[in-house]
Amino acid sequence: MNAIEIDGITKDFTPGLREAKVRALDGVTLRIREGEVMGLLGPNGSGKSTLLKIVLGLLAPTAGECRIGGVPSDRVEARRRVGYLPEAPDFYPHLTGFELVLFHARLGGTARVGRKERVEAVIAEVGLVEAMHRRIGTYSQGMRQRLGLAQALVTDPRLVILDEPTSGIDPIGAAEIGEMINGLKTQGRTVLLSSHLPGQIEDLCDRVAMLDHGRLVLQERVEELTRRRGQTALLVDRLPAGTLGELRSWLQAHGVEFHGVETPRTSLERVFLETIGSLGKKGNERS
Amino acid sequence: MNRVAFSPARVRWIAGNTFREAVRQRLLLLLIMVAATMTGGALFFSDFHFGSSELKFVTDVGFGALAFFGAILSIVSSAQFFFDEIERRTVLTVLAKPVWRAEFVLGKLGGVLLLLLVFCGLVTALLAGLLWWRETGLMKAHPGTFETGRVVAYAGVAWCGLVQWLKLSVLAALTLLVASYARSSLLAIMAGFVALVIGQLQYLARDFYGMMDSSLARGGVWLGGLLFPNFQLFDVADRVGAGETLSAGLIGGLAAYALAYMSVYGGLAVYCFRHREL
Amino acid sequence: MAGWRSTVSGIVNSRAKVAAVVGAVLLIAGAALRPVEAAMRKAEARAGMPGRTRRLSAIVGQGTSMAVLGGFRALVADWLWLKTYLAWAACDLPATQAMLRLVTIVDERPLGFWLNGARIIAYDMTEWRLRSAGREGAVPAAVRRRILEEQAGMALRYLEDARSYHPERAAVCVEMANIHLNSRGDPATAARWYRQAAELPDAPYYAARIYAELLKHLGRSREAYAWLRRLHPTLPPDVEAAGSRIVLGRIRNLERTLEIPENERYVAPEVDVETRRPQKID
Repeated sequence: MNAIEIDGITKDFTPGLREAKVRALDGVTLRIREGEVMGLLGPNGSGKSTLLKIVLGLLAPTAGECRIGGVPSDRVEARRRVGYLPEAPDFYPHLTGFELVLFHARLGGTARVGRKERVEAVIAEVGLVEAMHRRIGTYSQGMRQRLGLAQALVTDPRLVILDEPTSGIDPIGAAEIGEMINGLKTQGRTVLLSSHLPGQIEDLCDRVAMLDHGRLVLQERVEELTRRRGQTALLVDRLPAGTLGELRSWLQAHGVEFHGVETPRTSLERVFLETIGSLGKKGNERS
Repeated sequence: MNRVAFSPARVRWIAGNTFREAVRQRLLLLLIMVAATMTGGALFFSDFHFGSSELKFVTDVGFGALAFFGAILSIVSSAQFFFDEIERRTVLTVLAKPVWRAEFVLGKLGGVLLLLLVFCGLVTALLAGLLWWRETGLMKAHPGTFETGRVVAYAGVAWCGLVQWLKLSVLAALTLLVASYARSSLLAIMAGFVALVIGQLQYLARDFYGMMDSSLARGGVWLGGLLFPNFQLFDVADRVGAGETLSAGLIGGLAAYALAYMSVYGGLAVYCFRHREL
Repeated sequence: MAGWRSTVSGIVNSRAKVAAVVGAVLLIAGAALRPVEAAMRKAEARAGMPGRTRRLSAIVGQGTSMAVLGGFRALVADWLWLKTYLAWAACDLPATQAMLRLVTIVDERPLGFWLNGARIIAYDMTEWRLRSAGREGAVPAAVRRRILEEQAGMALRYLEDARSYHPERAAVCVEMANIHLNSRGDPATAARWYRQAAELPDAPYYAARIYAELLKHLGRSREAYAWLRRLHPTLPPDVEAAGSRIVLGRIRNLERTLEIPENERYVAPEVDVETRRPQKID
């Protein structure tokens, strides 16, 4: 069964009397299956956030339909098992983290019995236990992002929609959020992740839908997209002198075209994670 | 899938959240301090030795402070707490839950009404306390003037505080209606103050429109008058200060009038918000 | 061009539609609630409001007019009364006179404005004028008499205005009686006003007693005796201010003075606090 069905969604905005109509989405059709992690990839202004808001019933499409679990997305019922994390959330600064998540738990219809325990469990899951009774106004951006994730998950949603979940977060924080998203998949939840970072989509998602100027230009499994077909890469230890030539000859003798030799490279991000991680500075608070 | 019914409990939680935000922003404390300063300032009338008339002056200054600062609190809090949700995008996280847009709007209104109730209650209680204290002093200084007992009708003072709350509640609902449609909090605040002035001048407009020559102008003024409530009806504080009593019929009528306008404005705010793109 | 038109159309259609619906509902609701409002407006002095506004604007300018109409009428009147007090303290006759008139135009309801205003006009202003006319004792009696009469006349006219707004308030009648007595030296007219005061629902107990004393002063002791006989049964014996014993004493004095036969003398009713209620004087 499909968790989300998007059929021919078009959305036009009319910013003002003197400005031309802006078509933010143009005939987008998409299916997201239950239990999969779908990435929504596109540059800034491609229509990703607009599409998410239409899915959540926060915006009405100019044309087309959208359903969540078979229920039209503009119905309140459609959001019964949905958790949403908006881009760069800025919560009520005068509430504590606990109060905010409890507020959302109530609104989401969690049972009164065990509600506070559920809130505490979710807050622990996102690593904010030590800060949960502090005012949100004192939180860092990373902490707010975790808090946003907590309010999205407190109602035990089957569908989780994340809009730029690592926006403004350092690489360690981003990696932790990535782990949490992987955890959601393990739990069998459907995740719709919107990002302008291809690397993030590649690491976390099963499938990707690419938007450009409001049009869906591509949708495919990530693995298929990133496979360099018809080629095999070998990763070996440092070769002794002279061995490379022999290897090349052997491959050519077997009809395998030899393209070249590269020294494997890691990424600066990975070096950062390994360095900072090894210094043991993980925790709830990031400066 | 089962329908999600309209939930008064969700309205209550949103209202409670709004009220808590107002209290923690210390907005209420600031205004209470200002109103208390004004009311306390009325004590300087004692230097003029006006006798029992001093109590009238204290009453008038107290309710004047309540009306003036209450209007500011009503308009600014209605607009600000609504637009804060939109600018911070917290409205998105709330409405992404199974929450009706009507529940959100009514919850915001409920929070502001609760804030105004506390404000009016505290200022009225403070005023009553000041009057009691001064009256006790005057009774000792001028026993002949008080031979029939205390002259201040404290029940009237309390009812007057309630009537002021009704007026400010209508004003809050009207401001929220504008906020639900407008694109900026400044516009909503300005509209709230304009509506307050127009509502206060209803008598003048209606009495003069009959003297206009142009039927078009008469029609325009008449129609315009229908759009706004008559806030002057709620100006009963000076009656209390002048020693008059408030009848149960008057209080009941004002309550019904206020409730009717709050219902209309609240309903229209829900309608506007349902058509608003977030 | 076509794109622009469709843009305008899009905006106008959506937001204008919402605005039109809101406007229509407000008009309907306003029309429906007019009867409720009209029922509550009956108590207001509607007819006087436009006239009051025009007079106000001419005298004090827009700011004060707006504040008066803006629901701060009582506060504005209080502020003007303070200004009156300051003018009085400075013995500024023209300013005090103007402010006294203005205060009661802005807010006619507080009785204190009228009573204190009348006293200032009748007594304080008289004193100021006499002082400016000459040293103590140097003012000719005729001039003194004229000033007293003029000020008393002004004060009485001021109180006649007050009676138009407060027809059932005994304090106004008492004040008029005092001015007739103290300023004009007219005990007969003063007596009439004291009687009028005594017959009003909120009359102070002393008004009836003073009426009787004035009758005696005017040589109408029998009238005074008859009045006190009707008065005494209505006085609550347990209220000191009512002066029930004082009145009884005066009745007995008059009986001796008028040599009333024993069998015709007033018999004070039995004191029964439970059942006795003050009765109207016939």
